[in-house]
Amino acid sequence: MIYRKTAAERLQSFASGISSLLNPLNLWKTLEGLIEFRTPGWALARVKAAKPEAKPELQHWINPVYWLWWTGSFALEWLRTRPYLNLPLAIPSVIVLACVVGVIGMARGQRKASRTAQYQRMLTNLVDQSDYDRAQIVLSAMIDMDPENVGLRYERALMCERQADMDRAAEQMQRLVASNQFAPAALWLITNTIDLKNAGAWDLPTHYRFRALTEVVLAEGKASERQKAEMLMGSYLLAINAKKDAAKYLGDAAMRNPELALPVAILHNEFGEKAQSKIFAEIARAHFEQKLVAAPADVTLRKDLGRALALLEKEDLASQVLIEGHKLTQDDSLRVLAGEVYIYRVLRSREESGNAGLLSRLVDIRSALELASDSQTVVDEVINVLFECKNSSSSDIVAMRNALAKGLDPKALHFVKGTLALFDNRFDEAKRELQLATADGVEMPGVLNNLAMAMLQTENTDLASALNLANVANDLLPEHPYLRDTRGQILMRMQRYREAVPDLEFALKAQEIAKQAHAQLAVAYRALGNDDLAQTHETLAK
Amino acid sequence: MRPGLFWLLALLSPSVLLLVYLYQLHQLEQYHYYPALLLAIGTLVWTRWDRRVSIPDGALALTAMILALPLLLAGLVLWSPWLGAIAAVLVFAAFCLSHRERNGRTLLPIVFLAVMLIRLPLNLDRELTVWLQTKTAGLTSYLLDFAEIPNRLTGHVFHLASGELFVETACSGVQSVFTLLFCAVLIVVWYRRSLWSLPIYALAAITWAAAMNIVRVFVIAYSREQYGLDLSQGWRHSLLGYICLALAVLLLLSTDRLLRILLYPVREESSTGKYQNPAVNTWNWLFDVADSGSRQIKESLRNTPRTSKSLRLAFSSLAIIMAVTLIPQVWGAVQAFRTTLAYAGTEFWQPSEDTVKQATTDLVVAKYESFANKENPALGEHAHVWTCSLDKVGVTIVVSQYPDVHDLCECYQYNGWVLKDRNDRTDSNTDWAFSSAEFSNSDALRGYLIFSTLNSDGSPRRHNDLQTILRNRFVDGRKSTQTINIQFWVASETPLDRDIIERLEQLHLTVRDALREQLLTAGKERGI
Repeated sequence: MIYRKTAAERLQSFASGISSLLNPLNLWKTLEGLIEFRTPGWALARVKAAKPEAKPELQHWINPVYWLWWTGSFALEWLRTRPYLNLPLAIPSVIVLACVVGVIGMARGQRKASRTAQYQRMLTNLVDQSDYDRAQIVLSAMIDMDPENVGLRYERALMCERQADMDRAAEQMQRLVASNQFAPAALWLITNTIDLKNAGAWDLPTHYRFRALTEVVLAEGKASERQKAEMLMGSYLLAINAKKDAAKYLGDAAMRNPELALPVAILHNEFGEKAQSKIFAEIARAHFEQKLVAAPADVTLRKDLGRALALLEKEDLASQVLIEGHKLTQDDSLRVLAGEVYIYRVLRSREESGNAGLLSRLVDIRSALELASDSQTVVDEVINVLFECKNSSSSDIVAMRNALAKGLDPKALHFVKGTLALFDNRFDEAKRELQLATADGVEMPGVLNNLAMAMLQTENTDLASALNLANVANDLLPEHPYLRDTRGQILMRMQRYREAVPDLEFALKAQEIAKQAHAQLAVAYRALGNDDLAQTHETLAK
Repeated sequence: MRPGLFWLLALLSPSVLLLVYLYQLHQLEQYHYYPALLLAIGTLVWTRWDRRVSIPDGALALTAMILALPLLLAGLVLWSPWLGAIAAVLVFAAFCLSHRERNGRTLLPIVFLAVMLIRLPLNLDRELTVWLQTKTAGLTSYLLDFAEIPNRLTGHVFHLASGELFVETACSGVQSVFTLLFCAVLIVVWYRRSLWSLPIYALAAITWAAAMNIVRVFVIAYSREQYGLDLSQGWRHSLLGYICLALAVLLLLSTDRLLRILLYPVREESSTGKYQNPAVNTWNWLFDVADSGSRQIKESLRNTPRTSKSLRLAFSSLAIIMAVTLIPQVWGAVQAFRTTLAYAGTEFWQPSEDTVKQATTDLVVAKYESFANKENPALGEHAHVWTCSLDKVGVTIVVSQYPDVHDLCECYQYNGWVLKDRNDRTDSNTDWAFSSAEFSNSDALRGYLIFSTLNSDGSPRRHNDLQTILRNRFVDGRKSTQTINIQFWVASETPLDRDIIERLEQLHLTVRDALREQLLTAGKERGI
């Protein structure tokens, strides 16, 4: 039978094994020896010995040589009689003390520049790692060191933006503007906290705030910041429909900043100030051509140059520049714009020569269609031109018109046919053609709107479907008076007068349909029991 | 009167005031070492005393006895346990100076331990801890930078990515410094080191307390940032604190060894030969305990006390007068005890949530919060917070309770605010002080603070000028030391108009009166 040790016995033998291993080391005695303070031999003997020397006398006390001798011999004797054997236990305190003194020394001796450099290094690493929380702390520490450094405070606000804490970023930017008139912060606030597109709907404090911030940038900013502020101010003036002011403001700015020349030229063109428009278009052209040499594949630059050339009535050249760009970049928007450039000439021709220029317009519209048959602007203008030459008997024009119609893709053709039928009050045909144009889920607001209008005019129509189409069209192209008018008319037919009123009132913005909208509004208000308003609209409708 | 009876009466005479004083000391965290101190004193006297009783011996002992009597009487009249404690230490000093060890030495060194019981005057203890805290926080921040741990230090608060870290409670101090000072004195007394070396030991204790505080805060911040381990709360925090304290004590023992080596006697033999070296003699006189001991033995043998009958009579009268004070002391203590009983449970005073609403309609209260037992360490032991608005100005009203007097301006300074202006005034109707202060910080924010302080019995507190500090230290024995701060705080990006500040001050006076009324009503219900 084999004897097996119990667990306790095994543990005991393990402990005794360890103990026997450690025994030769004499741990306890070693420890005792370490703690014990060993008195030097001379000290033990000293207790018994009597003091051998006599006390110094006056002549010794007043003698400086003795002073030196006493000090020197004391120092020497002190060094010789330290009980150095007892030093090991004192070493930890010496080491820790050296560490403490070292840390204090380094902390005190550290220069601001080296600490800033250290923080900067940490900051760069943290930003590289996208650790913005920690970066924010480092920035705050840097600001504590240099509270007057506005750049750091701006950095910290930008860090808040990176942390997606826009409220805090805005709060800090606001503080920078309030206390330091810091232009980059003001510019940030304009671009990030103010919705320029809706400037028309702002309340008075927002207008004041925008203008105050812009003033800060214009007064305190660098050249590039001032240019941005000028553009924003121009956009603002445009948004609040102060186009004349915008043109004047941007005109002054454009003399310093040619980037602004193109919007100014466009504005003057809108006002019919052709000569002014051409001056700024020329500035813009020279500026963009120069830039295009350095960046020939820049799509935005080519578009801007194209627009400037169009304003200079050099549409062929503009189209050429855009097509070259399309070849270089394969960017379809350049091709589309190259086509749309001809539409600009069509419009100009209609304005300047009326019916006389119909043939040339047909030529241009064909060129436009060849380049951008997928452009809604082009298709719309094709319809306009076709409508224009509907009653013409000139063989050239008829031939050109048929050729033009053939140039359209099938869906566009259905749209044109449907729209022409709608204009001719052939509603069933219009409905059929426009339904074909919307096959395969095509969602173009113009097509949907025209179809809804055609459905509205046909008898026994499904008004709910028409309303649905009008709603989609309005979602795709919001705040368009024609589209709102269509929906308003459908709602009127459905006798939902209260809902129709806002749409019809919006439609009043378009002069061409204003009378019709007034008439409809009169009906609506009468149905709603507001006879005064109904009377007013009736008068206006006449 | 027999010497034994004399000492019994003399030592017992300030005992009641001393007990009250110890009770008050117990409320302060940094003095929690006092039981160990009393135990050490008892052990040392018991083990060293030769058991031969004699009446006061020597000029120093006589002076101590004579000084103890007026202090005891003053303590009694003003009911100041602090003065009573000083009288007790003086009597104990006289006892130690008059009695010998078996080897003939006096028991004088033990007195230095007893002195550790006495709080420093003029809030110097608090100032020392706060000063240390400021220094250690700065060095810890430097070390954290060195370890590439992003941190920002505002006052005594570390801002880390994982949140804020208070270096202790922002308004307390380096708690272990007094414990380590006690350990340093104990080492000197226990191991019979030279009393001249005591300042060096004290300096070492302060250094190690600071060093270990740096280690503690660094470890907490590092573990939180690197490993997500929170060592700033719960048992982990306590364990870390004890480990640091133990390390500091070990370092103190190591320093003791170092100082023994450095201050070891210098051999006289090889000096000038014929004449003694005065430098060596002075050194050995200062630091050679064996040498001074043998000298003291000789002196004690030479000066065997021979007291006259009239002196014995005088001492007997002194002991009896001191003993008589025990009667009013007991009466005062009973009063104090009754007050304490009445205050039991008021450590967390709960004002009504509607206090602000009821006091004024000018302030619109948006939120009310209550924090108990240091839930919000920045706001003291317990706090009640109303977030309000006055027109468009956000105002935070905080009622916070502290175990001792607290100057809120200092607290805000420890939290990184820079004091720009301070105006202390007193409401002439109530003789209740209030302070109005303006701050700024590195974020270009402006802070406005208006605050007043109440005692927990509802009595208003005056300003913390020298006179008041002294008066509070001497007189407030029978009252609870707990105070209640009422503050209005506004942090604003732009300077506040003078009108708004004046309105806030007026509202502060209204709200504080309402709070005081509530406190007094609560006190009456408790029979205070």
